[in-house]
Amino acid sequence: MSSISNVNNTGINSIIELFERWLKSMKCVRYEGVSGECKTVSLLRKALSGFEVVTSTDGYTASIVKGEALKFDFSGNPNIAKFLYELRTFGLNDQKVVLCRPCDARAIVELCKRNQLEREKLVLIGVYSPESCKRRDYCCVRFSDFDVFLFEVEAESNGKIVLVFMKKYVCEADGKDGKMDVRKVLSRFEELEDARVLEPEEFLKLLKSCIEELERVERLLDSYDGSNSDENLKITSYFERCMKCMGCVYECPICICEDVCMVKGIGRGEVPPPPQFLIFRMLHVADSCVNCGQCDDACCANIPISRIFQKVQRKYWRDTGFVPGINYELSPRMR
Amino acid sequence: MNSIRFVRTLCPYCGCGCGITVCEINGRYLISPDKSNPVNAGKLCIKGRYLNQLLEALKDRPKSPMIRRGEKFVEVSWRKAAEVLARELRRRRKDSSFGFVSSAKCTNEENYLMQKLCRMLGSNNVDHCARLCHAPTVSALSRSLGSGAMTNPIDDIAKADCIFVVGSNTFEQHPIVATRILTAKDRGAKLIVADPRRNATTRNADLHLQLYPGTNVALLNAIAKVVVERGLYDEEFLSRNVSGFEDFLSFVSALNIDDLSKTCGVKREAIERVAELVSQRAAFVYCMGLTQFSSGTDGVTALANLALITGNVGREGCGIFPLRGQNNVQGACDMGALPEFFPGYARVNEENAKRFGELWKAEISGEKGLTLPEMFNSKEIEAMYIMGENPAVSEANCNKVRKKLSSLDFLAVQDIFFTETAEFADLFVPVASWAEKEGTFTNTERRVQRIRKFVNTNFPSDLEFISEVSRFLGFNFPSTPAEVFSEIEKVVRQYRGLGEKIDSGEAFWGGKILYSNGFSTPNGKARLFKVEYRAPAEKPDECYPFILTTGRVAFHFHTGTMSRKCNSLAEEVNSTFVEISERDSERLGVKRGEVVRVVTRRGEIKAKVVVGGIKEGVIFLPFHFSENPANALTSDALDPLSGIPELKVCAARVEVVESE
Repeated sequence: MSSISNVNNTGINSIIELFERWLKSMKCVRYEGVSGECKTVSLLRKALSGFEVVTSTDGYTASIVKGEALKFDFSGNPNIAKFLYELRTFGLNDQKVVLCRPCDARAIVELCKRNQLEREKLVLIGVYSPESCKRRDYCCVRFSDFDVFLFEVEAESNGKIVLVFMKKYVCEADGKDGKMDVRKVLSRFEELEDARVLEPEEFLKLLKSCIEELERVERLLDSYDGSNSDENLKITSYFERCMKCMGCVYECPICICEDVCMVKGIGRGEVPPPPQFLIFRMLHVADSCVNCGQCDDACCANIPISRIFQKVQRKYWRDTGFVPGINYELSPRMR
Repeated sequence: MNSIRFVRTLCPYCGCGCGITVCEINGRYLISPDKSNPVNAGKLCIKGRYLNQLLEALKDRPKSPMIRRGEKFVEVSWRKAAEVLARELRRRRKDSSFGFVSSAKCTNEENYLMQKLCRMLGSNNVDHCARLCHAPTVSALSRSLGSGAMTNPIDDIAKADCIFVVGSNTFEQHPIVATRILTAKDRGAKLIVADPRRNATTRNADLHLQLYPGTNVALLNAIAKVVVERGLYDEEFLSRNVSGFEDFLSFVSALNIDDLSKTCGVKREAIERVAELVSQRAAFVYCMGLTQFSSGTDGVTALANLALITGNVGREGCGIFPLRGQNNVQGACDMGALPEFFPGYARVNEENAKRFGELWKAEISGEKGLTLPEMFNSKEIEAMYIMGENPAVSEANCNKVRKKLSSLDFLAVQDIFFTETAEFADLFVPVASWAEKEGTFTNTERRVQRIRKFVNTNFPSDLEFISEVSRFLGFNFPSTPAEVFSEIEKVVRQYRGLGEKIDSGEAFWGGKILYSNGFSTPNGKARLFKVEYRAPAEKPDECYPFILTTGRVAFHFHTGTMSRKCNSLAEEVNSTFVEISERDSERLGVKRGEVVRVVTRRGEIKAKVVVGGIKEGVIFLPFHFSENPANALTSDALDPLSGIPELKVCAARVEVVESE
């Protein structure tokens, strides 16, 4: 079954349907963390202490790092997908638990599909909190691309709670040969004192109260068509702003051509460079850009590159049926 | 066993003080922007992007100190080098016939020790490159407001309703500051830029004031006059916080806007529009295009006047923003690497000399020392000790400076690379780079931040070397940054208690916003000064019909010692060019890409023509390229108050070179 049919279905019913399917393959834990601290953070801290973990780097996950319980420094890592790629080029290719946001995961998935990373060597723990992401209006995710997903939502009574989804098969993974014992990582989530496994009914009830938020997250192909402030983007005036800082090139998890990147030859010595600079920049990741927004964040000129590009991508996605960054089975058409 | 290590440190280029994260993987380095650093929050300009290439370049440097023996250099140990330097300094101690050049590229700790060494030898002849960039900021803002520093954090620019940029190509030289300007613009703020050139910054401006170089005072006075005449000034702020307004009123009322408008070449309507805009919540951003004139102090004073009468000092979202060129100009000034100030801006006089003498247990001179240009002009200076500077390329009228360097009895140059200045040296001491040492830098917004070592090396840091020299002189300075910083905390008033705040990233000296509770002047009030427009020292004439101004490009840093060694930056631009307006190029009959000769009273260089949107009658040269040094041409006329040379304006002519 092609996942494109899933991709084309949106709306509350299809989301519930998706969740019901996930429920069958996932364990669900409800967790109420220590008050006064971000619950996802405290959850992660407890669950992951002692493991070698690579994390993503926005202010949100960075705050996890600052916890003394974790003995590694997360803050200011390069963006996670690119970093994993770099680690591999440096010959570090052992198994890793990766904390990542949906956007990071899309980049990881796409790099896996293009044989730049090995999916089986990664345990992806998704982290999502409505406040953690500046770009949530543009975010899309397939939760089943993760091994574990931590989802922070607002409950009616007492503020936020964290939902943890786990794939059953991950729990059953083996930890032989001195490799990381994935099962052990995951079982920690269940051992946490405040955690309890929810009954499916209870979970669905909770779920419905979160539908609105979920709709925002589970944005796939069609939902990109919704009109929004994109129409007000003044593309040409953005081109005038470019200071050629190269942030978009170097932070892009998909553009791994670095020193041979064709973009570098355009408008040498010119600030701002000619419009072709940004146009080529987008063109050469035309089929692979996962719209993660790393380029937006790195841009010294605050150019919303990924938002501009999304307009082009929509057309491409619709015409080819290929959406980069989600679903391992969906293979790149442009190869 | 694989090792992955993260080190959070700072970019070594400009005064923004951006954070970088270095990931060391099995001895190789990945450098990326630090997303948790409040200054850059995950952004970096192109120079910072290629820092890994700078690390590569560091592998190619002299491996040990060298002493000149006749025409050749002989390698010696660092200990021997320190001994020789100490001996040469001791010999000249009696008549103070030496000059120290400290460095805005070095840490606070190193600058502190450098000036302390000089002063303990009984002289105040210590200066650094702030003399070439923000000396007028110190002289003007300290008398107008109390402290020669940026009044607000960089982030406040994003909160302003109007940003008035004078003589700064922010989008190329301080992209991280430009980000804030764009954030403000996206909110609807207006950007005004005063610059003779059309460049990346003016392209984004709502109003571009294309003035003649050297006429800032005329322009700013004209704007002030309109503000006063139309009653746009902040009466309440003035009566509460500012002295001298009555005098200022009578001063501006005597000015004639049409005359001033004609002088600076900006239309009256534009001046009036600016007056309206800056009387809102406005941020005044400036750089070398306001300071590098023989009227530099007046220029900064005129801008401060404008900020004061519009009430744009001492609160959030406005203020005066001098953008620092080097990563630690602010710190080097704070540390007193200046001939007229002891650490913490204590003026050099007998009283303060006594105080520092007691602190340091030495005889300290209360007599003002020589400034950098004065050292190069003085016949008394026989020896120089230059740390991390390249005056052979950076000084105005650098041919004259090179003559002085070659005539010195003894010249010690301490740097990471063998620079153009080092070629004149009797003793060259290679030292650790920013990647190989610890310490603190103070960025343009007075934020003290730490750098951390991530490359192991056997090169001593500047601090360790100065400390070694001090031991040969019997002073025994501490040799770790931590010890020196704790001394700084005791000695420099502004740095008291900052040590414990550094790790939070919020260690601003003077607090985030200066003057929110009154000014640091003796009476607690800011002061308005009457500054008349004075023409630059050189005017165009028949023989030299153009006004030559100099500046930088986005891809290189100052004399190119660091940036030109990075391939990707060198690929962008690697040779000098002269920018000429379209009309002038037609008149001269030169086309883009042709090589011309640019000649002034002091020298000549060859450069490729670039036809651009620069003001007619004005030409522009970047000063990064030592093989064709723009500073062979520039004027060394000095601002009487700050001693800054007039790097930004002189008379020049362009000659067509017959093809060879």
